[in-house]
Amino acid sequence: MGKVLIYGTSLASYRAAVNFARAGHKVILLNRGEFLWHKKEQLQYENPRDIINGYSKGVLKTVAMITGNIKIYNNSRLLDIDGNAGKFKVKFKTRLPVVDEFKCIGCDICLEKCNAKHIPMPLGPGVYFVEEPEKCLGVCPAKAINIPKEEEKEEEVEVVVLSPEYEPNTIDKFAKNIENIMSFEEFDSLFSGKGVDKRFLKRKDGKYPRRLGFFDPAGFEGYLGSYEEQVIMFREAIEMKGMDENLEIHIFLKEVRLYGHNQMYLYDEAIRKGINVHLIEDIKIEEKDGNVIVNDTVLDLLAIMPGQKVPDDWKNIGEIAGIELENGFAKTKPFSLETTRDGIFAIGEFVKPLGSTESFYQGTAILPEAEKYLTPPEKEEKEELEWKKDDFNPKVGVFICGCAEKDLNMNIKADYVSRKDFLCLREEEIVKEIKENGINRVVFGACSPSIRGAMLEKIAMNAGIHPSYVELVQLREYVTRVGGDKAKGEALLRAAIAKAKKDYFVDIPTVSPKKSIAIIGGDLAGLIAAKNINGKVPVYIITKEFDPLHEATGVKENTLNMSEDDLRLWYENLKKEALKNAKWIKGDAEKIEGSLGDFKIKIGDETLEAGAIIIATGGDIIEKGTHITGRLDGNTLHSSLASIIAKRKNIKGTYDFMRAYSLLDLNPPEVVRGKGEPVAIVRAREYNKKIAEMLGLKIDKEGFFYFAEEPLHLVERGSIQFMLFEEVFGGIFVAGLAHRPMSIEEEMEEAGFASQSALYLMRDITSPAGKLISVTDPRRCAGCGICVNACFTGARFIDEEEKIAKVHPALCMGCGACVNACPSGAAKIVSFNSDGIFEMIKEVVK
Amino acid sequence: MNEEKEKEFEPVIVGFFCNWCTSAAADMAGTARLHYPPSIRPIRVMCSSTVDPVYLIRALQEGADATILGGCHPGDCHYINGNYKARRRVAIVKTVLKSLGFDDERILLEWISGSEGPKFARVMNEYTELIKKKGPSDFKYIDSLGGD
Repeated sequence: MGKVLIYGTSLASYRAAVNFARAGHKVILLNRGEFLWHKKEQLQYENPRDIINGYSKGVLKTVAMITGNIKIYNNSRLLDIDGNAGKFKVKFKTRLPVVDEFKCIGCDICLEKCNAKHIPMPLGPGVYFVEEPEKCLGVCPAKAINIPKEEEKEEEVEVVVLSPEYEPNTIDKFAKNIENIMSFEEFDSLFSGKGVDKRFLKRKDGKYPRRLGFFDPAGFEGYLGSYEEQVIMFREAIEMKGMDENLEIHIFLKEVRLYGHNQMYLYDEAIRKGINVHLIEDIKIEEKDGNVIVNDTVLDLLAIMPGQKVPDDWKNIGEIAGIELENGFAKTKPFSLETTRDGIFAIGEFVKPLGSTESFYQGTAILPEAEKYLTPPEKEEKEELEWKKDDFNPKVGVFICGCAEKDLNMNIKADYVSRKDFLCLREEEIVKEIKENGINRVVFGACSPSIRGAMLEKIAMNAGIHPSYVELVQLREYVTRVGGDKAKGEALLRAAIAKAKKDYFVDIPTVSPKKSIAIIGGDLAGLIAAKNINGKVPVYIITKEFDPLHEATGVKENTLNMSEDDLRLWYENLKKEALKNAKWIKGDAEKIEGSLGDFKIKIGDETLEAGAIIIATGGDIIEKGTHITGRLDGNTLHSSLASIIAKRKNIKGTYDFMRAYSLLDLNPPEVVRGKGEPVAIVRAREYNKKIAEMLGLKIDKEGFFYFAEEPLHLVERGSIQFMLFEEVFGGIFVAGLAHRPMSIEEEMEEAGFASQSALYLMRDITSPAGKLISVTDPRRCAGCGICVNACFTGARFIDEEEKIAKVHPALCMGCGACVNACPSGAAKIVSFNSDGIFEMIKEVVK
Repeated sequence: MNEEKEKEFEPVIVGFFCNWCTSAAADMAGTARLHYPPSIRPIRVMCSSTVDPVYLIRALQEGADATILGGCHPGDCHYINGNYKARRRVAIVKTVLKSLGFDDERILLEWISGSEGPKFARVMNEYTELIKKKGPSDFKYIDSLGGD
C-alpha cells in the first residue's frame, strides 16, 4: 500500500484523494480550512453552489468512510519536505477543528447548551461553530467537539501532491467607489437558489434592478481566470431572463471563452433570449444619477467577474517544497504533472489557470504518474455476508432516535418499538435487540440519509438485515425541525412500516468485466493512455496508422517553447513505451457489439474482447492562415489549439472570439479583432460517425464526440461529474482530438483520466443502483422495447434469443424510468414496487 | 383563538419528491429550521420520472387534498431527462382531470434544487394556503359518486 500526502483545498486535490484511496493507497489530506471546502474561493465562480458544497464534498466523505484510507488534517500548513521520492518526511502544522464534521450528527445539543452557531448547508447537518469549546466538551454525544490546539506533525510518505487554491482578484481596477457595482460572487448570493425575487435581488438603495449588466474582464491586461467563469455567468443570465422576461440584461466581453461543445451554445441561447452580448475592445465604467454607465449603456446594477490572482502564499509553498515556480505557478516537467523535484506533483490551479473539468482530469491523471513511486496496494479479500431472506413473514422493528423525536411522543404500532437517544452511536444495542427479537424488517426514525443513512443501514447489515429490508424516515428534517407535528410524524412512520411489510429481498448483482482495454484510433491521447495502463491489463490499440504529431503543445513555458526536435524525441519515446505493453492491431474497427465489461470488436478476421473502450480517433489539423478562429460550422471552439500555434509561430493576425487562454493570458499572441483564413482548425474524422453509431454515442455538428461535459446523452454538465461516476460512462471514454480541438497538454490530462477510469472498471462492479436495481418479469414482457428508449444509461436491451428486455446491472442506476414507461408492468424495481407505494400513500393521508 | 384554529380546515398534501433535488431541498429546509405546514406528507422517490400518474390519482383518491411532484430543474436531472418525462406526464394528468371536471390545480409540479431549502419552504407554504382556500377535495368521494 502506497502513502500519499495531498496538500490543498481544491477540486483537483479532493478528486486525487478519492482516486488514490479507491486505488488502495493511504492518503493524508492536509485541508487548509476548518472544514472541507472552507477555502473554496476559486470554485465559487465555476459551478452552481449546490454542486460544490454537496457532491464533491459528499464524494470525498463517502470514499473516506467506505475505504478508511483517507486521513484528514484540518487547518494545516506545510513546514518542510525532506527526503526523496519514495521516502519523503513531511512536517506540517495542524490544528484540530473545533467541530469534527465527520463525527458531528447535527443533534443541536451544543446549540442548546453552549455558545454555538449553526450555518445550514445542503447534504449534511450544516456547519456548527462552537465558541469556548472547553466548556462544551462533555456535552457532545458524538464526541465531535475538540479543543483546537496547534501541533506539529511529521508523516512519512512516498509521494507529495500540491494543490493549493487560487484567490479571487478584486474588481477595484474597473470599479472603484461606484455604488451599484458588485463582484459576481456577491451578486450570485442575491440570486442563487432564490430566483429573481424583489425581496432578495435588490440594489443598495433597495430598488429592484430592471437593467442588469455582467462584465467578464477576460482578455484585459493582467487578467487570469478559470475556464468556466463565463459559463456560470451566461447560465445565470439566461436563467434570470427566463424568470423575468422584462429584465434587460447586458453582457460585456472582450473575449468569449466558452469551451467544449455545449458551452458555446450558451452564447447562442443568450442572444436568442434577447440578452445583449456586447463584444467590446475597451471598457469605460461611470456613475450617473445612481446608475452605472458602461460604454454608453445605462444599467441599474453591474456585476463583475473578478478573475483570479496568484496568492502570495504560493511562493512560500514553492520554497518549502523545494520546487521551481514560473510566473507564480508550479513549474512542471513537459507533458507531466511532476514538478522539478522528483516525487512532488502539482495539480489543479497550482499548475495553470483551469476549469473544473480539467481539475477533475488532473486529479485522476495523476494516479498513473505517481504510481511509479508508490508501493503497490495489496489485494483485499471481500467477505461474503449471509442474509436472512424472508419475504412473507415480516416482523417489523421500529427504532426511533431521541434526537429526531424530541418530545413528540408518537404512537407507533409495530411488532417491536425501541426508542434510544442517538441511534447512530448505539450499534451494539440495536444489533442485539434485532437479533433477540427475531426482527426481519427495520424502520429507522432518525435523521436525513445524507447524514447518517449509510451508517444506520450498516448497523442493520451487521445484524444480518439486508438493505432491501431497511426503511429510513427522516423524522428530524421532515418533522421536528420544520414545525414538529405529531400527526405528520406518525403518518410518515406508519407509511414506512407499511412499506417495510411489502419489502422483498433484492439480490444486488455484480458484474465481472473482461480484463482488457481497447484503444480505438491512433491519436496521441491513445498512446498516452496505453503508456499509463503500463501493462496492468492487456491493451489493444486499433488503428491503421498513428497520427502525425501536432504543433499545439501547451501553455506551460517548457511545452509552449519546446523545439521541434525535442517534441519529436518526446513523441518517439512515448510511442516506444506505449507499444511495449500494448498490442497494435492494424486496421479499423468494423463492428462493435456489447456494453460495459463485454465489448466485442471486429477488425478484419479478428474479434477482440474488451471490458472498456477508449476512443482516440483523433482529427486532421489543417494549418494555413493567420486568423485565430473561434467556431466553424458547429459549436466547438477551435481557438484553444489555434492560439497556441499562433504563439509558437509568432503569427500576427486576427481573432474573432478568443485570443488566448490559461497561461497565455500573461503573454497573448499579437492579434486584433478581424476576419481571415484560420491559423489552424481541426477537422473531425468521418470514422467518428461510424464509431458513434456502433456505440450509440452522440457527436456534435462538426463530428466531435460528446464526452465528460456530456456523458452519454447528458444535457448539462454538473452533477454527474462529481459522483463516483466511472460506471456512468458505460465503459466508453473519449480522449484527445476526437473530443474537441485541444493542446497536447490537455490530451495528456484527458488520456490520464480515460486510462485511469478504464482501469478502475477492471474489477467486480456491484450495480450502482444497489437495491433499486430494475428487473424484468419475463412472463409479462412483450419485448416491445419502450423501456430501452426510456433508459438514459443504455442499461436495458432486448435479448435476441428470448425476445424480452433485459438489464445490464453495471449500467442501471435505479431511476425507475423504465418501470413507469413499461405498458405491461414487466419492468420492475422490486424494492420500490407499486404495492409498497400504494400502502405508503394510504397510510400517509390517514 | 385555539378553538378557531381547530375548526380551520387542515389539508393533507402528498409530496413525491425526487431523491437528488427536492428531497435534498426538504432536508435543507430541515437543517435550516424553516417551518412549513405539517400538511405536507413527503414520499421520497428516486426520480420524478418514477412517479406514475396512477400514484398521483391514487393519492387524491385515498383522501389527499392535493399532491405535489417535486423534481430537479430542467437540465439538472440526475438521470438526465427524468424531469422532462415527469413534466409531460403531469401535463397529461392535469388535462384529463380538467376534462373530467376536477380541479387540476390539485396537482402541482415544481422544480426545487438541492440548495433551495428556502424555496422549498416557500412553495409548501404558498401551496398549502392555496389548497386551504379551495377547501377539501371532492376527488376522494369519487367511489361513492361513481356509477351515476
